[in-house]
Amino acid sequence: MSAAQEDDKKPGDEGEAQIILKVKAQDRFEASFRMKRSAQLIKLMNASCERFCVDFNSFVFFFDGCRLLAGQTPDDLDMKDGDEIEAVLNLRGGP
Amino acid sequence: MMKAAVEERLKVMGIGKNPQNKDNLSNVAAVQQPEPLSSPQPNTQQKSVYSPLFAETPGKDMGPSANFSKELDKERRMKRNLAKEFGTHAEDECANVLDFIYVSPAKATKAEDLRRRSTRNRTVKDEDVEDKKKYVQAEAVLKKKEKAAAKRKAVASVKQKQSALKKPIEAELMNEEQAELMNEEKAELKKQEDDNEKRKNINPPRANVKRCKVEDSGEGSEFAEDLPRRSMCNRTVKDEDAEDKKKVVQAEAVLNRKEKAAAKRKVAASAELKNQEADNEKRKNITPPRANVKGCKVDDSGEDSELAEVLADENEILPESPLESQELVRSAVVKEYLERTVKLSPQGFALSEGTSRPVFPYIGDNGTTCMRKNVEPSSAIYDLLAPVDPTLLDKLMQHISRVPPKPPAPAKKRVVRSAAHEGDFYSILILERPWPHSQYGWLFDNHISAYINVLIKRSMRDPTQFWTKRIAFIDPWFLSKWVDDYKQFKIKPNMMKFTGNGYENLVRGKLPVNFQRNLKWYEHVDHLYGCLPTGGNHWVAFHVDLKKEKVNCYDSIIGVVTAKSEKNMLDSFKLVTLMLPEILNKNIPPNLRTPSRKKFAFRRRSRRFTPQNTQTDDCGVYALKFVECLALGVSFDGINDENIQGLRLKMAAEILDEGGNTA
Repeated sequence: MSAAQEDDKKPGDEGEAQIILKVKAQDRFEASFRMKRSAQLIKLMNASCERFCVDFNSFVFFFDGCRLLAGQTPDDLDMKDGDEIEAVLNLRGGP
Repeated sequence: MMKAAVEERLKVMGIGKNPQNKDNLSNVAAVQQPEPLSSPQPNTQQKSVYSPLFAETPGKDMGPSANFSKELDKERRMKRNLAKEFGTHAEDECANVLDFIYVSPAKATKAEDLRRRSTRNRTVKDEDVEDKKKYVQAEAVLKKKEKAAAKRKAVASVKQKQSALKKPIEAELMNEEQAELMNEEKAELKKQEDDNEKRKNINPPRANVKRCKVEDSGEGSEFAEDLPRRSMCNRTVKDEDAEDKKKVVQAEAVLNRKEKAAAKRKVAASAELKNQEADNEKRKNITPPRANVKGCKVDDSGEDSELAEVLADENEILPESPLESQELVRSAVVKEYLERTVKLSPQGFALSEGTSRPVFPYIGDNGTTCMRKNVEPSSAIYDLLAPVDPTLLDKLMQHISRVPPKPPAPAKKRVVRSAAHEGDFYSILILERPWPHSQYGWLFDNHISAYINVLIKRSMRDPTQFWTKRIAFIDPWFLSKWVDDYKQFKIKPNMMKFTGNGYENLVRGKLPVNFQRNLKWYEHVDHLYGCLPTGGNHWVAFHVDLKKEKVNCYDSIIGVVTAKSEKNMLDSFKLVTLMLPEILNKNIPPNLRTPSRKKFAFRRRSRRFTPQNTQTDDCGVYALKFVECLALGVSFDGINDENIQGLRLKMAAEILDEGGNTA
């Protein structure tokens, strides 16, 4: 099920608290990212879209059932190390 | 009475000047109607109207020079004909009637000036007794009606005609008096010309059209010769005098004509209306039908061309921005629809709590409302089809104009359509067809979410605007996660856990996070509403009755119902019908709901209950409106393709007003 599991290469600043988050997409792909707790989640979203080779905006991210907004930070959501973020393909209706 | 009638006419005409003009030309057929009225009625006042004096005067002047005139006329007529193309064929049929009309103007009972002249003209007609009779009859009828007012309709029509006539008469007067301005050679320059004109007018009614033609042609030729001269002179004079005046006068004349035309159309019963029409118009109308009429047309050509110009000028002025007018039309359509379908409830429910619109959607007996037959609508219910609040619309437009332009997309990447950008969000929602591409107006989940949030916000108000407080809207974002989870659930139902990953929050009313209602299912909520994407690209509305364990699907594009299509829809809803029991089992205390794995019943409401989006591409809007209607407890009446642009606009305005695009 989990095809790719990699750690973010960025060492990051040691001075600031960091968090490792797991992004899971469609139950198939997982990736872990390390980011600053105070950084906006948009960075993580961009990175995971790139990792999963999809266009930005085609994923919707959920944490604990709540949709993640680009401006939020892990601190805002009280995320803990190893928390799992779900990425769901954006839905769109038409006809 | 008369004044009132006139005012009414004016109002009516004020609404649509342009169309009336066209109608004037094209709807000559309407003119026919008056004939039957006049003919059957007795001719009492023949004598009074027609004086034998005129008998000699008729068409002496008219000579054999018709051919020359014809040629001249042809050129001028070309323009005229262009303008009146439509009128012409219709007139063939009405030729007789039109003749009638000619005479009638002469009668011009109300305008004394007209009468003077007309009397002369009529004398000519005396020869043609029969024709006169008809006219006389018509007049007599009119007078009778006026005096006696015996038949309401007839009277009303007559009065209207008269009222309408007054203006036309004025117009005629104006035309004649201000012929200089108008470039109407005949009328004002020489009274003789007037007489000639009248003769011409008179002639047509006669039975032997050929004679008339000859006469007319003679006149025409004269006129034709004179016309260039006079017209030139006149025009130069006019130019010197006052170009402004001309324009004004022309405009007035045009207006008057329109009014007349409108009056004619509406009254349609009386022949007299025609009389009062501008001579020019009559001539035009009359001439075309005849085979040899060319001579007659000569006179008109000058005028007509000018008229055409005038009309063109007006047309240039009149149309403002097409967008606005279309919006007006659309809102008018919506309003009209509302007035037709939305009635005060028979019990006289009053809107007590300060809602601006004191109307109340009547809960009918159609499919959707049947479900809530015994429910009294909320006192705060609002009208979801009401026209957009102009202030909200202004706000929306200002907001859109303030949205910074979208940064250009990087060249390498494929352009992904999304509604993430604020400008895109609103333009997708409100851009009117035709769209840049066929799927431009498809709603994204951003839109669905934004509008569901609007509904959630409304549901939090007190008193609730919806049919009951015990409803909840399912957060579309969570629904997409739910859809995603179903893939896993399908494979291994037992492996799926429904606690700690959002479902708990869902059941406790904590989703969406920014609008937490904290209403627990079963405890406070019995009905769930939402929009579900199915088949990858199609939004449908659904309603879950928790107590009855039923799921209703409202599909705006049902298409051909086959076993396969039904199964597809059923499959799309399996995430609800199959997963919901599990979710409830885990999260609802057993005392509120006895745990059961029995799946929820599902049905797709047939098209009898759901308005269909036949032009497609609006399913998102439909689905949202369905949800709104269901929550309000009203029927789906009024949600249709005709109103869809208005609904979109309204939706956008309300989204902005109630919090905007939160994505």
